[in-house]
Amino acid sequence: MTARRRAFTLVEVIIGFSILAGIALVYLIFVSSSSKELQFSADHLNAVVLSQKVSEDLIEELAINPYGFETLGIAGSTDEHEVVEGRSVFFSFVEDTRAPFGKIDINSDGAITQQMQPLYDSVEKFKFKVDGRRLASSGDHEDRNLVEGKIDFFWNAQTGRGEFNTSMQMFSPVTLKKVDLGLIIDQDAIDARIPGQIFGTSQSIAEISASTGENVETLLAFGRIALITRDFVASEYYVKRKNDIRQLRSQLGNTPAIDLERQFELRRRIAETWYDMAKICFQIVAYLEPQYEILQAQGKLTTATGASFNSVSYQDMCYYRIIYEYFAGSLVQARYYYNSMLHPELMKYKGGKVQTQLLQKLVDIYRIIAILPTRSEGMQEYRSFLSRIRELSEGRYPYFYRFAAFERGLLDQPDEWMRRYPNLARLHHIIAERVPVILDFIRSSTVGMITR
Amino acid sequence: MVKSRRRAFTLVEIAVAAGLVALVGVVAMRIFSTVGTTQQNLSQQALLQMESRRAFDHLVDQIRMGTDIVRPTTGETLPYMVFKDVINQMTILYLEPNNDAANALGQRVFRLVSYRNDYSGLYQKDNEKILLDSVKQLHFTSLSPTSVQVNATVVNEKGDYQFLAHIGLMNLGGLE
Repeated sequence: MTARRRAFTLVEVIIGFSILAGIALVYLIFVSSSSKELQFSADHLNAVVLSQKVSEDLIEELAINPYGFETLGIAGSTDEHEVVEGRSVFFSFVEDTRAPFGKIDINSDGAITQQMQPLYDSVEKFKFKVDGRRLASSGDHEDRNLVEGKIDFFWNAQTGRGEFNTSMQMFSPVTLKKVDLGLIIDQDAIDARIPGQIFGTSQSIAEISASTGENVETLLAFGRIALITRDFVASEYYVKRKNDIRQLRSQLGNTPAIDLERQFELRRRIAETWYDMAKICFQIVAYLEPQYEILQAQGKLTTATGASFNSVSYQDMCYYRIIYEYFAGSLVQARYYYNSMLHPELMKYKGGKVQTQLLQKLVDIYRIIAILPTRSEGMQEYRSFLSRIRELSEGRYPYFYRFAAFERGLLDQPDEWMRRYPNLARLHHIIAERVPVILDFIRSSTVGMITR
Repeated sequence: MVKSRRRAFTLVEIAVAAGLVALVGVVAMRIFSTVGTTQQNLSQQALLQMESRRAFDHLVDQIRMGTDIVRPTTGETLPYMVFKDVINQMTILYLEPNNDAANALGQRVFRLVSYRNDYSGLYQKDNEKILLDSVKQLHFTSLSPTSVQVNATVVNEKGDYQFLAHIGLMNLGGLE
C-alpha cells in the first residue's frame, strides 16, 4: 500500500495560525509603540516651537518694558496657562482673522480656535508655566537689567507625561546703566585754579581757610561753583550749539518735503544736538548741586549777605540758574524735534523699528520733563503721550500697549514710579528736590541785589 | 473480523476547518494590511515633521538675518513677508503654486520661496531658495516691528501638519 500524504489536522492548522497571529501581534505592538514614539516626537517638536514663541514674546515684552514679567502677570507665578482659545496672554494675538482688518481684537480674533485646524488639535493638549525674576530685584545693581526666565511646557502623552523645559537669561535694554555725573569734570584741575582765580592769592586753600575763618569745604564749593559756571559761559558751548542748530534749521527749511531721508536726518541732528545740550547742562547742574548742599549746610544759603558772597559770586549764582534753564529748555526743544520725526510720512519711510526707538526715546524725555519743577504741565503732557501710544498700539502691538497701560498705572503712584526707575529717582532728587532750593535762594538773593 | 479503517473527514469537519482557516486568514490579512498602512502613514508623518522642522529652521535662519520688517506692518496678517537686512537688501518670502504637487495631492499646494533682491535689480537664480515644497496655507503676522509670527500648514499625501512660530529679527542698536 502506498503511503498517502496526510492532510493537516484541525489542531495543526489552529496552532499554525496562532503562531502566525502571535508574530503579527508582536509586530503590531512594535508598530503601535513606534506610532506612540512618533506622536511623542511630534508633540515634542510642537513644544519646542511653542516655547520658542513664548520666549520671543518675553524678549519683545522686555525690550519695551523692564517690568514686562509683571505686566504679563507672570512674575513669581505658578499658574498653568493653556494654549488654545486665547486663554493665555501669550496666545491671544496669533492672527488677524476677522474684519475690521489691521487690528487684532482679543475677543473676536487672534486666538487659536477650532477653526484653525489641525493646529488646534495638535496644541490643545499643551499646558505651560512661565516664571521670571530679576537677578537684582531692586536698587541700581548692574544685574538689574538681567531677567531670568523659565518656561515649562507639559502635556499628557500615551507614554506618560511629556515635558519640555527652557530657562534663559534675558536682557532688558530699557533699564539704563547708572551714569557717573562727575565724568566730564576734571575736579583736581578746577581745585588747583581756585586760590589764584577766585581769591586772587597764591596761598593754598588751607591757608586761605586759616586767614578767613571759612572752612576748606566751603571755600572749595564756592570756588567750584564759580569756576565751572564761568568756564561754561566762557566756552560759549551753548552759543555754538545754537548756531549749529540755526544752520540745520535753515537747511531743513530748504529741504523739499518729499526728500524724506534728508528731512528725517536733519530733524534727527537737530533733536540730538538739543538733547546733547540738555545732557551737558544737566551734568553741570547735577555736579554743582552737592557744592550748593555744602554751602547750605554751612548756613550760606539762608541770607543773601552770607560771608564770602559778593556781587561777583551772585553773578556765578545767576549763571547756575541760566544753565538750569538751558537744560530744561533744551530738553523741551529736543522733545519737539523728536516728536516731529514721528510724522506719518517719515515713519512710513523709516519703518516701525525706528518708530519704536523714537517712542522709547520720547518716553525717556517725557519722564524727565514730567518731574521738572519749572514745567507744571509736564506730567499732563506725559499722560497724553502715553494715551497716544495706547491708541496707536491697541490691537497691533500688544507689548507697547501693555507698557503704556503699566506706565499710566505707575504715574498714579509716584513713589512706586521712582522706585521702579532708579535713574529717574536720582534725577528727581536733583531736579525736583535740590534744584528748587538752590533756585529759590538764587531768586531771593538776586531780588535782594536789585532792591538793595 | 472488522478491519479498522481510517475514517475520512466528515463534510461538517471540513466546513468547520475551512471556515476557521478562512476566518483566521482574513483576520491575519487585515492585521498585516493595517500594520502596513499604519507604518506607511507613520513614515509619511515622520517625513512631514522632518520637513516642517527643516522649514522652521530655514525660516528662522532667513528671518533672523533681517533688521527691519517692511511688510506686514504691525498688527497686519499677510500671506507674504518683506524684510530688509543690515546692508539694505530686500528679501521677500512668498508662496507660488506648486502644480505638480497640487495635481498629485488633489488640492491647491504652494511652495514657499525666499528671494533676496540684490543691487543689480536683475533676477539672480542664486538668490532664490525654496524653503518648503508643499504648503497648504501660510500667514505672517507682525506684532512688533522686530518680530513676526508664522502660521504654516505643511501637507503631503497622508495629512497635514501645522506649526506656529514666532521669530525675532536680528536687532541692531538704538537711535543714538
